Amino acid sequence: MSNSAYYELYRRSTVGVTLADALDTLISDEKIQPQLANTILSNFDRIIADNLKLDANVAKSKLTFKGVLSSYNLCDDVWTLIIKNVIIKMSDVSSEGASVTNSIDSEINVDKFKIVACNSKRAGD
Amino acid sequence: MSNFEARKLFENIVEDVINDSRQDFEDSGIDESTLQELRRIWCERLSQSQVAKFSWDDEEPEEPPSVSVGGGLNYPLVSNKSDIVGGGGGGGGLNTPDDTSNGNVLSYGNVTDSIGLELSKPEVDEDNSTGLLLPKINQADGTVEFTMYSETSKAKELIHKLKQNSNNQQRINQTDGTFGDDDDGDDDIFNDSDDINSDLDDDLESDKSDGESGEQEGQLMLCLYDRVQRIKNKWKFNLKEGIANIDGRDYVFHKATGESEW
Repeated sequence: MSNSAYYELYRRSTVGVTLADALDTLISDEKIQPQLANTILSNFDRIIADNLKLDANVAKSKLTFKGVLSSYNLCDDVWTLIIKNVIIKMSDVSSEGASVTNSIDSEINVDKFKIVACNSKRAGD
Repeated sequence: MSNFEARKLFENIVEDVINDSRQDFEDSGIDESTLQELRRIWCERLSQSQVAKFSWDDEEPEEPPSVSVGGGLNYPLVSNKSDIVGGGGGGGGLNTPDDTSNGNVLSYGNVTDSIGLELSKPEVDEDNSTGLLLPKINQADGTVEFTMYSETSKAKELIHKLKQNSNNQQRINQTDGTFGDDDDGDDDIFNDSDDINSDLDDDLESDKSDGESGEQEGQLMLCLYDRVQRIKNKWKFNLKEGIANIDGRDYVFHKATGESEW
């Protein structure tokens, strides 16, 4: 399986940054080689992409946002948007474990919101 | 609001990555214990990022030892030296004008040297005491986050565990705060240059500073786009399969739609 089939985009997320941190720690302790760390990171690219797909049945929430588009940029098929004065609404369908209050709607106001989005057409498959 | 999905996603990812990497570790001749160490460090960092509450937090509530040790070392050192200043400094200062013999002058010269050094350290002490006001703000942030938890996860046991953990985490915040305030107090004049040098951050746990920089970048959403439309100055976004960091918490979503005007 070729590594390039998956975006490295999600490495910037918390779970990706913390993994890179942990790998860096092991590298600086000379417990693993950098090449191995790269392999692990591309494993991560594949696993997080697969886990975010709907059929993985993990991420089911929907999110809507509305705001003033401050800047937009499309480069190499990657959109980078900066939206200001955003209202973000989330309908959370995670009713497992806790009480069964089905969906919890929540609304957050954010001054500045940055979106980095890759083309879904080329992802994964 | 709940970010239960983010927690579940992250836990899945950790398990999957560790399991899928086992073969890669073997191929590189690295043993299982290193793989488990990777998992441990990863979980630790994730917990410290406080983007979500994880199941392993309940299993092993722990504070990073290096931070607390650093804080513990500082206070005894400073207080010991201030004691020496009180005793030796006072005695030396009174005696020097009386005695004029060479031998005495030499020995008192040493004492005054040490006084000169130590006089600056009580200033650090004062900075500590004034700086303690600021960490309380950090504490307040911590408690706010915990109340959010208790709202969402209504199981009482969880709340109890959260309270226990919150004690630990408040301690962590305090030590960090005093560290930062020490440095601020020492170099108020050079505020900006200190921030850039970030020696302070190096002294801290690097994960902490990472988390903070992540929050500063803040409100970042990583996802895929299905369609981006524009009609005149009106934009519509159809996004999916993303992770959003909002106000220091992570949320995952399957679909996102957005409208905005440019």
